[in-house]
Amino acid sequence: MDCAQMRQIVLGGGDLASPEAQRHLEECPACRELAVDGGALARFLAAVPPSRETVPTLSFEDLERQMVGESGFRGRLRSLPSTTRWALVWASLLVPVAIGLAKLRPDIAIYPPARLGFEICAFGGLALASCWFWLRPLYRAQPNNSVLLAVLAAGLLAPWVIAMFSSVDPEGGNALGRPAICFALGSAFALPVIAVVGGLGRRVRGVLGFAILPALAGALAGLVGLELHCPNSAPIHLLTGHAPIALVLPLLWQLLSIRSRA
Amino acid sequence: MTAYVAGDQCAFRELFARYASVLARVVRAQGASDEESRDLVQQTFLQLHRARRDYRAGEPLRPWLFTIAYNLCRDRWRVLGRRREVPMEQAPPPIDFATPADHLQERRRAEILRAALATLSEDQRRVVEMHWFAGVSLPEVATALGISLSAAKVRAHRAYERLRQNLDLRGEV
Repeated sequence: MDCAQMRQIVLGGGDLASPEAQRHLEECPACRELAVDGGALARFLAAVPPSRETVPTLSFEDLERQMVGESGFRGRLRSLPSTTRWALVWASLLVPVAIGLAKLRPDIAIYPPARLGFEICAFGGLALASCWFWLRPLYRAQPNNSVLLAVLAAGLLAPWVIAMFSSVDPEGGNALGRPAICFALGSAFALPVIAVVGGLGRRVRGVLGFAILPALAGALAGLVGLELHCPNSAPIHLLTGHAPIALVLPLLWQLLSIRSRA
Repeated sequence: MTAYVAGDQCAFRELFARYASVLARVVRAQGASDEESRDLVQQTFLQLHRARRDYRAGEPLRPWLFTIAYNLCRDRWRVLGRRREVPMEQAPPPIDFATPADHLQERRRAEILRAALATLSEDQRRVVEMHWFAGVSLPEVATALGISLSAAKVRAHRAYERLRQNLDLRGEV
């Protein structure tokens, strides 16, 4: 017996003492509550008029009009199965890593491995978390909004905090280095990730800050690539050439999103 | 849904015909206006269309639809910076052949129920809306809300218990 059958028994004045009904009532505290006092609550709820009069007129043709854009490239991309979408995201996230490994920083032998590992895990982990929020299907329960805000805040702040507490001195030369080159390189690393992650998103809109998630993921992936490639770990260089990537790209993406919505 | 995933376009129309009204009712119960309800139901089906390849044959569809609708409502209210607190009927009673006294009685019941539902937490209200008003089974409610079956049972039990305590049922039925 299920809840619907139990409801019929309660409303129809059926035999609540039957073994089947008793078994269901033992298992289902909700129905037990509805059956208390001879089913008074169930009968009250059933007596409230159905709200069909409040249902607006719904047209399938309107929906079909909205679905016209779903047959294009973008529509096909976001309609891919979630496993495929995640495979594409992983592939795009590995691009900056692969380039960074191919052009590995020359000081890799003397750079503290624990620090490098921490930085890569922090940026990579936050990039993955951003993708997770962005790609989470709406048919699944969504995590608390405060968790999303925490990830956004961490993603935006982590590059600055890590840069400020960078204590490894660069080996000679100008500490500032060429931050513009690193900024351009990191942004270039980020672009494929932003394109792939952004294109795979299914949601129309989300809470404040939700729209920047693809750009944040891309920027953080770009920073992973830079961490593997750039030997200059002077705070002034990181603050001017690396960390701004995680601010400028999300800001630009947000502006583009607002413009495209308008 | 399985037919739609396999490419039968008519199946989507059938799904819309079957579920649009109940979704509109659920969305309406969240406090959406007619226009918002229409938009949210369409968005729900649009999201279902986008997620169709994630669907596995035999999986219950209603939890999917309700979860999408609730998530869209949540997003909408947050974007608009407000929380809707009007859980039940807002429109005047339906026109039928009942007597004016019956109308008054029905309207009074709806008012009482609306007040009682407003005393529940959002989580509890959702369970009642799905379990009682939309006829969704508790396992499906649990899936839709992303909680365990026992958590859904406890939530429903507490919600109905509170409703029963808040409603003065003597002489109402």
